[in-house]
Amino acid sequence: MTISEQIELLDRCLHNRSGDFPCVSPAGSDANATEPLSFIDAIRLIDRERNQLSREHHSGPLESTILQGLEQAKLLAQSQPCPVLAITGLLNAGKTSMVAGFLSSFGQARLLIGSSNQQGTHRFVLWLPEAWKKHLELWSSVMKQLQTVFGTMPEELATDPHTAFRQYNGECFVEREQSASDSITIPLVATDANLDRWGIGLMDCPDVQTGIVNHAKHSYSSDQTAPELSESIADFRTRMLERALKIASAFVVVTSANSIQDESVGVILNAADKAKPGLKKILAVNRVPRRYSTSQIALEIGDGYRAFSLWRVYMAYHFDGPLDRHRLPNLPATIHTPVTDVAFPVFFRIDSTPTVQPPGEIPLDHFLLTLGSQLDRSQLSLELLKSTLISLQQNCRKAWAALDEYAKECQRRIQRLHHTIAKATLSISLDDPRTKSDSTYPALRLQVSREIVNQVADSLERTAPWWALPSRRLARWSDQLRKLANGVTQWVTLPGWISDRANATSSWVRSRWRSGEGGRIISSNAYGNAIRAVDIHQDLISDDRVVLSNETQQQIERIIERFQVESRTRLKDQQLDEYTREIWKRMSWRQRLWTGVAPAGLLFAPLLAVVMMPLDFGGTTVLVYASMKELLFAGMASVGMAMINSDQMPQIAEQEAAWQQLSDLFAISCDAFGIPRPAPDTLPELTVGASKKKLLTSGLPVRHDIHAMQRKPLLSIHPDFQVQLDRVLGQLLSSFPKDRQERTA
Amino acid sequence: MNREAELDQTAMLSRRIVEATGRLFSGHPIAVRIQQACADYDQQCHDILFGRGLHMLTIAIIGTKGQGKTWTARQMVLNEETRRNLPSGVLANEATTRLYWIGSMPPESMNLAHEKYVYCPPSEMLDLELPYMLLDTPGTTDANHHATEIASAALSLSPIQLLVIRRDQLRASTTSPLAERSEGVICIPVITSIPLQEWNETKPRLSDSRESVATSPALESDIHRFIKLIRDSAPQSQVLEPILVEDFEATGDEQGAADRFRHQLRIRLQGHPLDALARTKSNRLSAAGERLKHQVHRLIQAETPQLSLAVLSLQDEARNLPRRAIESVIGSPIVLETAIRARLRTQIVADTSPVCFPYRTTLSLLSLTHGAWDRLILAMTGSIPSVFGTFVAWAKNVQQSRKAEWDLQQGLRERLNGQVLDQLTPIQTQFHRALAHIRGQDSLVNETPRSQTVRLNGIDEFQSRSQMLFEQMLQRYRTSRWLLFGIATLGMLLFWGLLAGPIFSIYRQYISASIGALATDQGFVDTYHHPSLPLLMSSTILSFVPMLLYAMVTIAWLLRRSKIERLSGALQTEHHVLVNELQQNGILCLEFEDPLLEQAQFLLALDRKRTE
Repeated sequence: MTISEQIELLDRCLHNRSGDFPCVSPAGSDANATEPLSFIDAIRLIDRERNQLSREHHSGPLESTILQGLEQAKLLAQSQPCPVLAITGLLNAGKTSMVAGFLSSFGQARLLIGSSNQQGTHRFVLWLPEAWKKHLELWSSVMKQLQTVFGTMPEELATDPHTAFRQYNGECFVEREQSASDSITIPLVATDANLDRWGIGLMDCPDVQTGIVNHAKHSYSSDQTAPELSESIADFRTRMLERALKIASAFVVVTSANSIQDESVGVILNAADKAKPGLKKILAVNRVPRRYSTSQIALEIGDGYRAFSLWRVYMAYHFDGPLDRHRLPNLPATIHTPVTDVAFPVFFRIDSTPTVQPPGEIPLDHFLLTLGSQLDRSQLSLELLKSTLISLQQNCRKAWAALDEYAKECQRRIQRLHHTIAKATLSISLDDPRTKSDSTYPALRLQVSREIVNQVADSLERTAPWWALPSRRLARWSDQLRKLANGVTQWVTLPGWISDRANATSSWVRSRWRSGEGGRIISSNAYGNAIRAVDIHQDLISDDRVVLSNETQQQIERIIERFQVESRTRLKDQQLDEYTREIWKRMSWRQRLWTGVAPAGLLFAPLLAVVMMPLDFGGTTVLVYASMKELLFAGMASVGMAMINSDQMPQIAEQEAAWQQLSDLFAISCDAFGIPRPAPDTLPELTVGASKKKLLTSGLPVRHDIHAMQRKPLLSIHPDFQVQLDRVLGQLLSSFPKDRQERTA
Repeated sequence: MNREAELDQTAMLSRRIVEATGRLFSGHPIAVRIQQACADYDQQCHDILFGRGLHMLTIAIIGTKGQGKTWTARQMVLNEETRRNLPSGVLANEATTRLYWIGSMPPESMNLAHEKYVYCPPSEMLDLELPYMLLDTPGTTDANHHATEIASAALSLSPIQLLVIRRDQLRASTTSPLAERSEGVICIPVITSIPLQEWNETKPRLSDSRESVATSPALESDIHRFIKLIRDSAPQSQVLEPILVEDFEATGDEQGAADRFRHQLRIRLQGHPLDALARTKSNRLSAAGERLKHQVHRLIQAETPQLSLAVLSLQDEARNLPRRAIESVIGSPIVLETAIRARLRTQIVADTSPVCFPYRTTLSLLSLTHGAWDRLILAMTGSIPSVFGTFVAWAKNVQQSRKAEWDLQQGLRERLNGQVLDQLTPIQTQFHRALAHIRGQDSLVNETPRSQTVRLNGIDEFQSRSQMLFEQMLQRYRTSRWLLFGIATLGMLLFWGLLAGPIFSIYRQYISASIGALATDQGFVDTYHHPSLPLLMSSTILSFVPMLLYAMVTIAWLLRRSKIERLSGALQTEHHVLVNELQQNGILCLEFEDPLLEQAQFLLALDRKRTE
């Protein structure tokens, strides 16, 4: 397979959403709503998450790094060699002066050289061989590469020196894109015939130490102090340098002699390594005071910069001043330099042993100006491609690691969310400890769903003895009416003497329950707050506001609504019947008479009042929690029946039903928040009183709320994907000759 | 104040910050970083106050790597031998990686690994009219990080600092933090290595000012920007006119450059007697404090943005809540209108003259049984249950007006407190939740019970003012006594006018019978007519009913809905004004007694001065 084909394969692998290559699939509600994601999609998600997490620790978007690398690799693999030598270095170290040595006088005239701020290089300037421009295909490929790396189309350096100076100094004369807020992001392009000899381009880079600029819109923002602003400018320039260096096939780092102990040199060398690992790095020491010998400097550099594996080291003596002028080397006549009145530093190699000390003769190929002839352009291009692929490989692995970590985090988060929801649902179903001082353990309350109310009503009707016959008839009639009239709202239209009684009862029960006596009313707001109280990490409800937002409230209302409609949990009919039979049996004669003749409306009004409860809160859906005892107490007490001592009554296993209800509510909440329900063996365990109890599996069908998108996407990785990725990445470098691979690595 | 006391005072800030940090962020890496910053600050304060036990002026030479600091130091030492002890150059073994103390006495507690003392008698040092100690520091951008740390720690050791920078580095970003760290000092920039192209001496060699050197406009503008940056970075520093040193390697005249430098330095320092230098001490201390505050603020903003968000929203709520709570309490129109109606009704009854019997009596009965008139009418017709109903209504009314009164007076405080508590609790929970999140805890942090955490201040004041307002408004809207008297007279006349007939006829019969009995001899008891009770009853009722209707109409008119609504509207508007006023004067405010929140507010308010 050729390199191009392999890059193509990698491209497909990274972008594939389905088909041959397994990929990443979302979990939870996203699973239904969206299709599987490609590797790149997943990385984009992770980038976004990281971005939201913190701006400070942002280590560069993985997605754009990978895509950019991929694009550059494609371009490099297809195009003819067009290597660029980056000339970078410290503030006023003589970078542009060095570039000047390589250019024709026409080119030199357009260079801005000097130590003042107005003479500073504040843009990336690419000096390319004149011949490249004539070669249309090559030129367009170079421009494309520039665009890939910089993200913007380059600007042409003006032929008029004054305009060129202004461009060099940071002014921009082309229409800027929205993203290019600073002119430093737009590279300048110029051509020079002198570079044709070697067919290598040069990139004149701005320094990374500048903290004062005159052109940019940098000004004190409200919360930035002067030092912070000046540091942020320098930081921005460092990041830009890291980005720009990706275009280079080799780097020259220029530093003045007094800065060789400065940390900034290391910063730039590291930036070069980070941008393109394994490429040639050249250190050039400028303005060495003439009292130092070449070997002293060579030794100094050898000691200090061993870790950076420099390819070559050059130096140039400070050329001003009267002392030791004999140490200034003379350029051999064979090196053509344009005749100008400005003196440029003469760089020569000092990394060969023994080091030549001028006035001793320096071999011709030791001069920096002959560097071009010593570089093999096709090899340089190949090395760049290789380095691009290596960093692509590294970035993909890094992204994979991030993705893997994210997916694991997702699993942990899902577990945490399950626990949070379970805790919240438990907290609303438990007795309010304030009102229950008599029991040591909080008991779970039954949610009085319509299902339960109907069941109790039916049971009462079923077990009614003969003397309650008239009432039973009426009850059946009223039941039918209730069904016909679609719920209970129609009861209000019944004759006044019934509805008055029912209303009085319901308002009495309501007031009791609302104050927490006997029962509990949970509105969507209360449930939301219960969730918020346990949702420490703000995974479920991210509102920072005090009052729940409408969306959240609606979301929770939907949970309650669905629960009210779908909950099919019933008490055991047999037990309930025994209970109600006991009630009938224990009725006093006076009560019997009253019950026998009292219209059904009176008997069922309290129960209906319970059912009416949800409709009473201005449309807000609520859950009503009450124990069986409380429910029947509410019902019976209103018709003047004495409350029966519950200890003597048959026991109803309402805890079991309540536990099932809790599990159902939990499952529905999971669905609503877009979280996959737990597998039966990983169901959360809750502590009720002194014992621990596991939630039950809900029989309700999984139906994710379409409105519920998890704030943080949940992903699960296809297990085979890593194998695929590893294989493709591993093959990527296989077509390079072994020896070169070792050398560049 | 002695220096120990001063140190103690400065240390209070760091102690307070450490304490707050410890309580808020225990376990979070930010706590360690803040504590480190506080320790640095303490050291800085110590250095500023004690200056390492040297009872003389210290002049420090600071700057980034390779700017010519040691060259500058050398020029202030006149002894060749001593100079040789100060290495200067581009090679590693010539680099200053330790702190050099040059002078007549060594400082206290020297750390020999990082510091070196070079003896030099005052006579062999550049004469600046007072004895001084010279401090040569490593570059702050040294690749050797050990040296960098020493350099930045040394920045608070001296009140006079020579900031050395090469001409070509003037726009570097590294000097600004340097200036910031040494804020409060007298700073003399020394710009070295000015290239020949930009250097042109126009006047005699040892002239008094910088104008003796003609510099290029580019250099001028760069220097201007540079000085501005230093001033912006360290507003409390006193930045003197820079000393310019040409690139003597290019001119070959190092001696001349050195002479000029010394001369300029002497001139710069002439105008600064010792007391000016002592003043810098307090400036430097306060600058160090500001720096610490800013640093802590930055750290908290960057590391725990949730916290500041939560506290901000809490503060926001705390500002708006008293108003909202009070408005919701007074904004309950039913209570207010009931109270107004009750008060107006009592007033009408009270202002009606007792002379107007039985109109006034009827009025007071009506006012007690309002809402039950229909039954009252029935009661007049003699239905017993209706009488009972009237009594029930009367009892209810009494209860209700009592409740309204209670609401207006005693209930206000409790209801307000309850409301404030209810509304603030979620926000407070939010804050504690953010805190728990930062600390990585799984449950909320709340160290105090909620009822003790919030208090609404100024309710008493509000209540008395509100009461006053209520009374004033009632006064303004009360019906005039003359009008009431007129109405009452009319009512009374109506009653007596109707009853006059029967009474007159009874009296006439009575009088004529009396006359008959007195004047004639037919004065038997029989001649006296017995007015029958039904007659009396029916005539009384017949006269009473029109008056009752009249009373009902007038009282309905006097207490007409539009009037009550106007009054209650006006009262509400006045209350809004009152609440605003109280809040602006700071009388009405929320007070938190949440220690964690207090700490958080303290930390977040640290940098207020700078951000404002």
